Amino acid sequence: MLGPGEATGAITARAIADAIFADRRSVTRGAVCAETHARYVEKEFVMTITVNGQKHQVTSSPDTPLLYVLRDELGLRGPKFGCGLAQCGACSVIIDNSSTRSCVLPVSVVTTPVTTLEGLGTPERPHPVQRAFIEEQALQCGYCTSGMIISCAALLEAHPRPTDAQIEDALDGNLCRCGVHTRIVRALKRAAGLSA
Amino acid sequence: MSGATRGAFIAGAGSLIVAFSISCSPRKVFEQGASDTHDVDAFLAVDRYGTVTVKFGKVELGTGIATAIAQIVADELDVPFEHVRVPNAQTVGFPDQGSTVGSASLSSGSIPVRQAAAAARLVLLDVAATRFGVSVDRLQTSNGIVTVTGKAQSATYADLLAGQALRGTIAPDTKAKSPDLYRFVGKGIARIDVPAKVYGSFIYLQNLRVAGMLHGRVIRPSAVGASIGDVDTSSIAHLSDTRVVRRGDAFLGVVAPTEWGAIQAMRALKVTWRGGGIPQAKDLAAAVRAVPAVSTTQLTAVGDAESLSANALRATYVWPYQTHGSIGPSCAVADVRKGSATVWSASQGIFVLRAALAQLLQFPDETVEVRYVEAAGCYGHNGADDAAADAALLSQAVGKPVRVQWMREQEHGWDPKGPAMVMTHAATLDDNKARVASWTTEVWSPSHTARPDGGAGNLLAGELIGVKPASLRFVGGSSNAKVDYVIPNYRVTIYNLQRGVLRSSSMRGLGATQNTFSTESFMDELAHAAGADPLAFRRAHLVDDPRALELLAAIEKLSIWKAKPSASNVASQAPQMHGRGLAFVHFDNSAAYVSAVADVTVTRASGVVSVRKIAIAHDCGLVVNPDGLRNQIEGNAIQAMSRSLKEQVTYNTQAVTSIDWQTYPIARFSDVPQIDIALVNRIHEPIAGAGEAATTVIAPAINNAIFDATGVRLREIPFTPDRVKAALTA
Repeated sequence: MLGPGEATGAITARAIADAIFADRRSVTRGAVCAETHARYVEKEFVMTITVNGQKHQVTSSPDTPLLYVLRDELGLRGPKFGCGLAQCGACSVIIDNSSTRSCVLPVSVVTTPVTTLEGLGTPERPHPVQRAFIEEQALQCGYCTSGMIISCAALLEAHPRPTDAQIEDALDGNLCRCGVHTRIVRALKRAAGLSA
Repeated sequence: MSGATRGAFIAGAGSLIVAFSISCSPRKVFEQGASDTHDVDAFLAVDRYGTVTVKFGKVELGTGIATAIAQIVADELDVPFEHVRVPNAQTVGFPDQGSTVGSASLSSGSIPVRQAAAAARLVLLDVAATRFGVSVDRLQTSNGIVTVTGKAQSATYADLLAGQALRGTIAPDTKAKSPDLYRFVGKGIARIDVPAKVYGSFIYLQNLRVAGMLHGRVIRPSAVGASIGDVDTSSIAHLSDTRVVRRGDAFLGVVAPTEWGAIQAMRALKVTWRGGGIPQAKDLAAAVRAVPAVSTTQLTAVGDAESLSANALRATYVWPYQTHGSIGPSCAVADVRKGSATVWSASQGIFVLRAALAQLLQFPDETVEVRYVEAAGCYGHNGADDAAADAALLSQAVGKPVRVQWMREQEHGWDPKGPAMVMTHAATLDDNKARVASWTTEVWSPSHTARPDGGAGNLLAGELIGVKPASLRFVGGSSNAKVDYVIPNYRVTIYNLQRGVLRSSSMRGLGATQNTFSTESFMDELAHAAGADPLAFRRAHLVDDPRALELLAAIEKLSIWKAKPSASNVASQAPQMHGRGLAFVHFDNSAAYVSAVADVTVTRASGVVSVRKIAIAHDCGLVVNPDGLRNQIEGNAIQAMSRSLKEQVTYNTQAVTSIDWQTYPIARFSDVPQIDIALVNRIHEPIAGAGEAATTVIAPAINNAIFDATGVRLREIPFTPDRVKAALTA
């Protein structure tokens, strides 16, 4: 049995995400993985994805965006549906060290491990960003929080001591309507050990 | 159930029965609820483990209200804060405290809960007095324990009650604790809901799953008011177990086993629509004023405002339709069975929603239960109630529980909008040009409420199947249309309009947001005409209100205000122009006092307005949780800045065209200014509420700062680069 990794070869989820971000209005991945996709449809492979360190067989159809597999098949509560257009970031998960919009990413092209909010940390072993969000009370309704924490964690992975410009760049694609932006930036800086 | 019909469970337990005066006006009932219970156990329970459950009839909208209520109860009942639970309200087993609106959750909503907690403490003292054979005045309470003074005798609340209900009556003269004794109120205690939201275990409505649940999606008309023509069900024949639900002229939806399946069916179903559309006008102000007025409200008429205004300074201000823009689209789960229904909703008003859903389903009220579940942030009457109606109709059609979540374009396209408004002002200064001598204001506004207390016709699904909306209840157009300044000749007229071109209802601040934008911008125009410093000019008109004057002193200090007339240092050739502006409000002329100072930079070539800093002084009486309050003020400031600079619903001849985050942009991290806050805490004053007040001062503060920077006065929201650039080059 082949996993999706073998099937897609060099085409990584990140490449798909990049392709999607090149045209943010795109809601389908186009023909990038059409061939693999067709073979899934023909049920030549069983799809599996690795989420938060656990491997799962996927029963959803190959074109199902990863978000629906995470929420409806795996029962995860962290990633949220916000727009389905890769415009708001509420659905963000970490794939290949990048904050990635799961609402437009067909599950069939997810070839590398996925980390959701639940996989970052727990009350017993919190991720530094999670601890900082609590310390700074960096939310109101909290619906965007999962995506915010994911984007913060991915940024710190790449840049442990990010500059203000890097912070703005990393978070500008995540929307918050309650207006807790200044608290989120404070939490991120606290997690990075930077003075706000 | 009234306290008069319930015997006190222990002899002597507070059994005074006195009716609270609850006015029967529809607005009062809407905001404060229909509950007339005086039973302690209607609000509070203490279990065998000492856990205190508060049955709070209002709901947590993501503002931290549950934490604040827990703080109040912990203080009043003398229990550890950690022992207090504030579960989601539901229509069964919770008192109807009215809808969670008007920044009133604490200011009015906490009052019966505080009284219940104070009364509960008296009940526990009575039980202890009986058990220990001493008089109540020899007992004291602390940390959930009653102790006999000077003796080693004590008992926990849990022991005293042994699982029994807190039977007693809330007497109106029940003494609440002196604020000087508060241990929890006044402290920035961390919110109880934050950890679950940070670790991904919190159950939002959007995460709720019930057994046997199917997934539904609605399909909205192609144009406002359009009706269904043909539905080609063969277009989704390839999708298994998928059903099309059609009701009345214009309600259409699909139900499928999976969420993605429902979305695919929604997209694939071939439908033709007939008719409908949106009337067009030459501009937004004309569109607003083209709507007939149902009535006129003379809000104030003192002196002779009319004749003095002949050679007056005149200005017309315009505010566009805006959308709530919750990050999570509206959602609901409904389980409609034969003869009864359960609906899970993020409604601000579960009791009025229940009645509206009962009407929609043609069920008796008591057979419908609504359970509140928190969803994405709520800033007014968004699509929560409408989604509940959608789910109810779909569930009724398929006979199984159905979950509905709106798509982004449906949320932006069909949520009840914040109303567009037009405000005109005319005023003259006195002979010394020191004070306003006369001022006339006219406001054109639809009602700022079309909530489900008006029946099923106020639910979108109800409208689509042809239920007639109830008669309009005019709210909000007059909010803060009248200024608190002393004006000797003053007339304010409100034209109460029929529904405008778009369906609209309550959005944060109601008309106080639009009106304060216009009055505080116009006050700046008057200060400029007087050659006066804007702060000094306002102060000169607030002579009778020490609280307002203290607030102005607080903003003066916080912002390091330097007195000068506006626009006295315009850098007329510089590529970047800097300015600062001030605004003041006494919210609803009765609640919080707020003042803001905005610092902006205007880029001449692009017209981009960048807000660098917002300072806010805020007096909302007793502060329950200073960190929660700051969070609310910051959120108001950023959201209102976004509304001021970026937000306007657009539409064409058919429907709304601002249907996602690209066509309806909101503030991002790169737009957010530094925010400085000064809280004025008045512990012996009533709680005044903070959910909306700060929103109202942001647009005028920014507008006045733009004028200070450029010498150019803007009068229409939003201050987009195109609009600013056009004004600069005009």
